[in-house]
Order: sequence, then C-alpha cells, then structure tokens
Amino acid sequence: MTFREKYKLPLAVVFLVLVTALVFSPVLSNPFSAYDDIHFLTKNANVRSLAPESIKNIFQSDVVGTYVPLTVLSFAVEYYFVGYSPFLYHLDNFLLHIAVVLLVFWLARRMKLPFPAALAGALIFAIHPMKVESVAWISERKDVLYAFFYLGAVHQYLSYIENHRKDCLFYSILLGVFSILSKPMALSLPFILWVFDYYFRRPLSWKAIWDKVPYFCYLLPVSLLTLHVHQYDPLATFSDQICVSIWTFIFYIKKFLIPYPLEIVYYIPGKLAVTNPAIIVSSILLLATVAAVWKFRRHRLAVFAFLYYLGSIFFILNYDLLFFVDFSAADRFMYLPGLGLCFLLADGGYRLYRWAIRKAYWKEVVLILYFSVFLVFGIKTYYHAFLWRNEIVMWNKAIGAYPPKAFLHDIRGTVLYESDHKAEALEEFLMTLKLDPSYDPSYFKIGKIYMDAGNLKKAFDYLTAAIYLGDRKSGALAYVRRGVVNAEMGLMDDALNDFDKGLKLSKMEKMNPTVIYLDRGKVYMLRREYEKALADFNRALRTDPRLAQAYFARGVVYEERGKDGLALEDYKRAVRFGGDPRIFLRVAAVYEKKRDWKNAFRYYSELSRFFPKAGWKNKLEELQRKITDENQ
Amino acid sequence: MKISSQKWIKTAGVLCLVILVVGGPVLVWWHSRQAKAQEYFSEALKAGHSGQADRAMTLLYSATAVDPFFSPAYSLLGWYQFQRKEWRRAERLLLKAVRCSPRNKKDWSLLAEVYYRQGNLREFLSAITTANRIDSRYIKPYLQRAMMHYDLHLYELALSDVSRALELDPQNAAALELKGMIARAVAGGGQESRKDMKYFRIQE
Repeated sequence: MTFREKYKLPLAVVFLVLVTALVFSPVLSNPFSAYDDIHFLTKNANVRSLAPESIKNIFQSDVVGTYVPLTVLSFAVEYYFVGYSPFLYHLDNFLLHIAVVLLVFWLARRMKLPFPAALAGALIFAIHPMKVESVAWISERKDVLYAFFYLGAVHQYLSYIENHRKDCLFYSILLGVFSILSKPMALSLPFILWVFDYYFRRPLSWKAIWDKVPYFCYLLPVSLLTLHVHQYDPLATFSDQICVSIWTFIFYIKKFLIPYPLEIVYYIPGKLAVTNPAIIVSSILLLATVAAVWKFRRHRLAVFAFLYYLGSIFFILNYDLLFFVDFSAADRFMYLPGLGLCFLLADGGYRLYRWAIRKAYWKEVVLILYFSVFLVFGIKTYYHAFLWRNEIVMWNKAIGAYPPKAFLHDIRGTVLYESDHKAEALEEFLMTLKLDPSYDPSYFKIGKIYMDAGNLKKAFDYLTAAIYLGDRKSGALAYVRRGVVNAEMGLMDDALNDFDKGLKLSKMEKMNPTVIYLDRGKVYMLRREYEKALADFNRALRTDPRLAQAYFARGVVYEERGKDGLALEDYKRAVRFGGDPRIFLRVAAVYEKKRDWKNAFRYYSELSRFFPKAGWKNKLEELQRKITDENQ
Repeated sequence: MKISSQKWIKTAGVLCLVILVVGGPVLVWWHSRQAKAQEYFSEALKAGHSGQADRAMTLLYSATAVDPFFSPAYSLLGWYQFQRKEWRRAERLLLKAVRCSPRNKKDWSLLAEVYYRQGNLREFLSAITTANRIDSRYIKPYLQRAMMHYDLHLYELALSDVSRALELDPQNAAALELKGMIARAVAGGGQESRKDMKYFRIQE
C-alpha cells in the first residue's frame, strides 16, 4: 500500500473537518437569536432544570407547534452547564454539523462513489450556503441533531442489509426514534430506506416491506401529534396544494444550484394561481427534471438523488398551506434533502474531470472551475454566517425583498424588543396587527411593551385581548403578565386571580410554572402573607435552582421574619446566579443590623464599585470609624 | 419472497376493473341524491318565505340526510338556529357548511358571529379572517372585528377596522355609528371597568 493510499482517508477527514470549521467559525461568537430562540431556549422555562418534572414537561409539550423533545432536552443539558452563555450552544451545533459531514462522507464511500467524488460530495454538503441557517441558528439544533441520528439510522440499516445482523436493524430503529424526536422531518426515514434499497439493488420483497414496519409504528404517533398541533388553512384547495408543491419542489433545487440571494424565509412571488408565471416556469422545469431522470434512468445515482430528494422533501412541500404558516420555503428545510444532489453534483463533476484529463488544457479549466465553485460557496457561507450576528439587518433585508407581511414585521418587532428598541418594536407590532389583525401573538407583545413603559391601562387591555385571542399557552403567559399589571395598579386580589388562572392553563399545557410562582410569591409578600410567599418561592426554586430573583425575594421574606442568617445566604446565592448588584445593599444592611461592621463595610465597598456615583463615601467613613472603635 | 412485477401489474389491473364496475353505479346513485336534496331545498325556501320556519327546517334536514355534502342546506339551517339563539347547533351546522363549501364568505361571517355570541373570540377572529381573505372588499368582517376591538377597549385597532369599512362604503350606517361610539369611548378616557369580561371565554 502506497503512502497516498494509506493516508488519503485520514487526510480527507482532517481536510473536511478543517474546511468546515473554518467556514463556519463565525457562528461561534454569535449571540442568541430573537427568532424562535426565545421560544426554544431563552424564554423556555422547561430548559432551566433537569429535574424529572421538567424533563416530563419537555416530553409532553410542543414548542411553537413542533414536537422536538430531544432538541429541547439538549438545550436543558447545556443550560445546566453554562446557563445562558451562547458559546456552548453554538459550539454544539457546529460540532454536530461536522459530525454530520463525516457521516455524509462515510455514506458516499459506502455508496461506492469514487474517492474524489465522495470527498467533493461531502465538501459541497459541508460548505453549501444553505446550511448556514441550520448551523448558525441555535433553534435549528433540530436540523443538525435530527440529521445526525437520521444518518446514523441509515448507516445501521445499510450494515443490516450488508451483514444481515438484527442488532443493526434494532440500532437503526432506535436512532430513527431519536431522529424524529429531534425534528418531525425524520418522518421520511422509512421511505428513504427504500431509496437505499433501490440503490443497493435490494429486491422488493415481503421481508424488505416487513423491515420498515417498526419505523412506521413510531412515526405514526409523532406524525399525528405534529399534525394535531398545527392549524390547517381552510381555504387551501387541491389546486393550491399542487401549485405550492410544484413551486417549492423546483425552488429548492434552484436554490441548491444557485444559492443567491439568501433570505431567512421565501414566499411564492405573486398570487397562488395556475396562471402565475412562477408556477408555470416551475411546472416546465419539473417536467424537464422528470424527463431528465427518465432519460438517465439507468444511472442509479441520478435516480437515487431524485428519489432521495423527493422522499425527504415531500412532506414539507405544502408546509405553508398545510400548517398555515406565513412563508413557503426556508433554507433549513434543505439541510438533509440536498444530500443526494450533493453526491450527484460531485459524481458529475468527477466524470467531467475524467473526460477533461484526456483533453489538452481542459483539465486545468475544470479544476479552476471546481476550485472557484468551492471558493464562492465557502466565502458566501462564511459571510452569511456573519449576517446571523446582526438579526435586524437580516430581517430588514427580508422585509425589503417582499411586499408587507405581518409575519416579517412581527419578527422584526421581536428582534427590536429583545435589543431594547421598544418604541420601534411597538410600531412593528402595531404594523403587524394592521396587516393581519388575527396575528394574535402581537397583542401580547404590545401589552408587554406598554407594561414596560408604565402605561398600565393600555397594557391591561392588550393583555386581556391576548388572553381571549391567543391559544392556551399564550393565554397562560398573558394572565401572568396581566397579574403583574394588576399588582402594579394595586389590585392584589385581581392579580392573584390572574396568577391562579395562568397557573391552571400552564399546567394544562405542561408549561414550566416558575415565573408564575415567583410573581405570585411577590404579591403574597406585598400582602405580608409570608408563609404563602415562601411556599411559592420554594416551588419556583425547585423548578429553576438558578433563579436569582427567587433567592432575592426569599431572602427579603426571611429578613422580614427576622431570619437574618437565612436571608444573607439567599442574597449571596442571588448575587452568585447573576442577580442585580443592588442586592449588596440588602446584604450590607443585614450585616449592619447585626453590628458586623467589617462585613457591612465589605459589601458597601462592593456596592461603591458597581455604583461609584451614588455617594457611598460618608457611609464607608462611618463604618471605618466603627471598625476602628471596635478594634480599640 | 420476491414480488414479481407481473404480479403487481395483475393486481393493479384487477383493482382498476373493480373501481370501474363499482364506481359507475355509485356515481349515478349519487347524482340522483343531489337532485333530491336540491328539490327539498327549493321547497324549504318556499316554506321559509311563507313563514313556516319549522317545516323549512324539517325539509332542510331531509336535504342534508339525502346529500350530506349539500352546503346551502347547512347554511340555511345554521341561520335558522342562529335566529333561535341555539348557538351550539348553529355552530355545528355552519361548520358543516364551510367544510362543504369553504369559499362562502357569508357562512364564515355568520359562523364568526356565532362564535362571538358564545364568547369564543379566538375562533371568532379566525373565522372573520377567513371571510376577509375570501373577499377583502366584503364590509361585514371589518365591522365585526371593529366591534370586537371596541369591546376589548382597543380603540385604535377598532378605528382602523372602521376606517377600512368606510373606505369601502363611506355611507355605511353601521360603520358611522361604530365610529361615533369609538370617539365617545376615547373621549371618555376609558372609564369602563377594567375587570375580566365574563362574557368572553378563554381557550379551555
């Protein structure tokens, strides 16, 4: 065995890892995104604890209409280690993508693609600009995680048909379960296994059918659950579905071949009708694609690529109509369905290269062409990964690309709200309701902005609207916020009533009730019902043991009841878990009360470090005097 | 055991034959049922015009019994039940009507009204939006939505809906009246009770 043959595989693996890492390196320093990360992670109380109750909630609830418990559980594990520091979350997405790339490379090798074609196929998969969304966006952990398990399941299945080992089939089914629990797109797995049967010339037999039955057994309940939590568009006709399917089918192929321009979401241009030029062109291109596949029907890889793409994208072709969402396509849906096309492109490129080496100059031309394509893809991916750092720019770009859409304005409003531009956010949400008054999440968001601005009357009205117009989940959140508004207006009984209703709804929806317990506890505290307040703070801390606000509030209750020692412990915990430094004032005051001047001095000094302009000089001098007197 | 392609072709052929043999007579039978339903419906209309509401309803139920997909009968039945304030029955019938004929804006609007009377604002808004999507120049959904916003004390949104209605029909009496109500409420500074609206219900 020559040196080249011996080391080409490890070198190829190192090359793939290095190139992928380089191209996606900007994502590691990206912040959290306001688009869905707030639902999946930063405002999802279920991820804040690994207690059995929280894990049970994760497996019993959906997030924005998607049942992805394994993805949410992965966030909960990360939160356990680093809290809300985005680096680890991005790093895990990044590492999972690299792992998926290696599985793709291994798959290409198993499919007996020539070595350069296998490497090129994996490289296209690794650095294609459409992959950025799945890697750079933490919420799209769904994609990389499901792809990881999905390809694992495919590999185990291939081992099963190669070696007839039952344990491989068992592992394949198990990985398939993990895959669908990470993202419902794994629904396509049994169909894709048939495509692999075709590629590997496994005859259609009762045994081949029987092997797929276990996959359907677990796919069915998850699919039904996914369909159940989504809302159907009652006006979508069969012809609409056909039009959307044709457009989407061709759109993803076009985007795969020419990934420019990239937007965060895509809409069908013009009206949804058979006469729409975009639909007509797509129909012609679809016919041409089918004709091309027919022409090359003896070319197994071409047929495989087509069937793989069809099988894996089929269930989301009607995504917008079926699930009544506000966009027709998005890059993330092409994460794994593009796999066969990567192999086909790479294999075609390799064949072209083999042809070119027999011609003068052509070899150089082809090599330069390939190098340019990879370079362009790499650079585009690198810069697109940067774009995710500034979400407002990204949403402005999307809003500029399409006619006014309620969904786009709502998300831009959320991004602005999260970056503390509340006045602009309010305008965006009002614009959303102007464009589509049925867009119920905006009522809640407007209510929250008015609440932050101190306009309690308007906050109350919008939150009331959110209670009646939203689903149970947003109703629970709206009740809690309205409870706070009521408490701020001094209507404590109404506030408690709202918290109780919020709690009831959150239990029905398997939501984490931490915030409700915390806020209700504060109201009990204001009413001097300390036993009830303590019980609520303890409940909140059971579900989120890092909740600084709960430690602080419990500390105040202990202090009020004369338990200064316990109060001090809680204040210190609150500071440790990122609470407001003003807590030092309470700590210092307790020490002062206990006549422990040294510690009081220490904490006042800390306070003066955080708030140097507040004039602590006199206090510190007074304490210094007391310490000196005490020493004398 | 491998399944041969010949066996597949034979099975498909037999299936096609069965579909043809069974499907033809079913189609003929179905057409006759539709004609009968239409007949009942015409009689029901006549009975309704002559003030015999009960007889009209009986005929409409007969029409739906012979053709379970005959949407005009469900619409009219829904309307009769709405008049009788039988909200639950009206809702069930109108839901059947919009399932059979999803592009009927009037059914959606009436269904929205039924939801509103039951205090189910979420479904109300969904139905009203559907009516609006079917025909954006249909004035009623704007007024219904304006009324909902008015009841929720969201006057700027109510005014926006009324303005759209008035753009379509500047002389619309209901829109003008609602505009006046909103102006009075805004001038009053929102002195209404800020308690829960007991007549609306949440999604439970």
